[in-house]
Amino acid sequence: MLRIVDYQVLIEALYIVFEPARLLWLLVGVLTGLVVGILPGLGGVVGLALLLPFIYGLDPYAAMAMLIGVGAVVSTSDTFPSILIGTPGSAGSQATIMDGYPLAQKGEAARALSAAFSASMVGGVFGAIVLSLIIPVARPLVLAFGSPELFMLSVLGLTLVGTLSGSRVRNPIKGLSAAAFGLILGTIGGAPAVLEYRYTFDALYLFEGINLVLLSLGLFAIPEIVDLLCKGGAIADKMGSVGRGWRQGLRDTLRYRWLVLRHSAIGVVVGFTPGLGSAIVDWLNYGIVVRTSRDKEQFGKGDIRGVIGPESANNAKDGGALIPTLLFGIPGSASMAILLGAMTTLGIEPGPRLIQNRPEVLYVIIWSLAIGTVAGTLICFLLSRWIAKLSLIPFHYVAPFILMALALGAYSSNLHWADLMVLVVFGLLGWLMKHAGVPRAPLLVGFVLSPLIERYLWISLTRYGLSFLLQPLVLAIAAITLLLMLWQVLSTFGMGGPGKSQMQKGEA
Amino acid sequence: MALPILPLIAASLFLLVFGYAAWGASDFNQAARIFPMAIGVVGLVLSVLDIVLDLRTGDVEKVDAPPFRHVALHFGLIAVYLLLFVLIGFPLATGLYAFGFLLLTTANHGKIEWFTSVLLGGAALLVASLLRMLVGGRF
Repeated sequence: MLRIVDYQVLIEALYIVFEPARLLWLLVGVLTGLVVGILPGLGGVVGLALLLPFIYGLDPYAAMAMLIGVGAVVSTSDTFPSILIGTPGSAGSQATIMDGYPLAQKGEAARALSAAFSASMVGGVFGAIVLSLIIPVARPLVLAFGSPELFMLSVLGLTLVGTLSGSRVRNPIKGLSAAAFGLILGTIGGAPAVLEYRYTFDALYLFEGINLVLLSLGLFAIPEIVDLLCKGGAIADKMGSVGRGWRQGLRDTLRYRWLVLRHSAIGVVVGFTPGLGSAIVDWLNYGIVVRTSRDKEQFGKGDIRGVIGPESANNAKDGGALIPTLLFGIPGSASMAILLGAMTTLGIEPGPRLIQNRPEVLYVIIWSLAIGTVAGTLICFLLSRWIAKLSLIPFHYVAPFILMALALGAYSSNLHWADLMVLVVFGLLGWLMKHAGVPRAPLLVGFVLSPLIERYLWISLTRYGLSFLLQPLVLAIAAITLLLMLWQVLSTFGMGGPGKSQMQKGEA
Repeated sequence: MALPILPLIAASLFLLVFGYAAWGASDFNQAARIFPMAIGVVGLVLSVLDIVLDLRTGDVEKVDAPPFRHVALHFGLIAVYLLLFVLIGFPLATGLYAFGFLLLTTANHGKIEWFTSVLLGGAALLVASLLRMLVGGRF
């Protein structure tokens, strides 16, 4: 009889998550995600990067619960600045401004927030449910994949991330360059196939390779902090009152429940595709809501559907994004790359071995996603009036504390002064890439995948020689990869200038 | 036609790194050489394509980069903070940085806030000391 879900493992994972210490770490992740989402310009990647150093010393379940908790809540809490002050909290809440902010200006901020939170909660739980249902269905397929297929799939995933990330028409080349750069950075240190140290310049410090914590903090956190400091001032000078309308918002979500479910499903599908980041999920769903609605007059002026659609989708996408990350070891975004890197550090190898040997880890992640989403939503509801005021704090009062966490995180793992220097170097690189239009997510994904891709390649070559490339599934995936790259590069040469919509901003 | 300076700098940096990676890989033994050399060569091609496109297109869509001196100032302050971290320890460095940074920022805004700077510097020192205790006081 086909079992839809392995109930025994599901319940075992629930017991694991509900141990008090692990719940506490989940809460730490949720609170970090809350703060990071509320402060515009930071985003989930920064939250994950800030907590990454603290996974050392934690048991794997607690560490995963904490990291998943961050991602589960950012997509909910980033709604605060979007609705209250018209500034996106992260890339995934840009479209929410279109109708959320006008609602706030009409004195219906509470209604918009309430609808956003409840839609986000449903979307997040929907994504977790889909993930749990996909696992047993995908299991035979995943187990059928060997090193050749995983190698080619990783190359495809990296190509997708490289060609689809970012906002400019020439990103295919820039994105692929960034991905290749990440692959090269990942080769620093010991080679996986033989006893050889590469690109270390005889420095003992580099024998272990580049630290993921330093790379992610430097690439993503420091450029955002520097830009926010350069911008100066408060995020907003004043903010209208949150007001009333909490119940109306909940009624709206209930009234448009099919809209919530439809956009949650779209969010999962888009999240599953590597390279399509939060911004794309958000705007795509907003566009679909508008186009499929009969009465469109109120969109852009305060139509609650313009809040509900994008918000349910951008929470559901987390469940979708976890599918290729956990089942195939292919992260589709910077957040997933950090998660993958963290799992590797904790001794958890995503992909077929995870499904076969440690299925309880999968279900711990699913439960953490669901519980983190619900907990984050409840906290947002309960503390909204106080949380909202965080947006009014000038960033230069907050910056020293964020930098403190950053420095602590960078230094605490190795206690080596060179870590701090490397952090600054990557910070400069991240800032340059951000302002040169080079997407940073492919670099991080390339870095995390580099040892895996090389290992798959060597196992494939050792077992099959070059004939591994002729296996049917490998050929099919290779053909898709080449076609995709060719299409993107040719369309790049065919176009004279920027072509993508102004609406598409932010990175994966 | 204005040159896209930052994209050209980034592409040139990538070109140098890929070039070195491909060249440096020739020193490794065969098993360790193939992967980085292949990536280096592919990266070289991509970087050259990127530079050609940047030069051909010319003025790319404006990137809202802040003024360079502000960026340099903030990076400089971060570097000073991290240097102090190594020299005088995490809590003191954090407190001093918060104090000095806020003095500088508020001075730039036209009104030095001594009290707020001292208060936040003290708060940063306290929080840093607590965090240091939590991680076992190793630094």
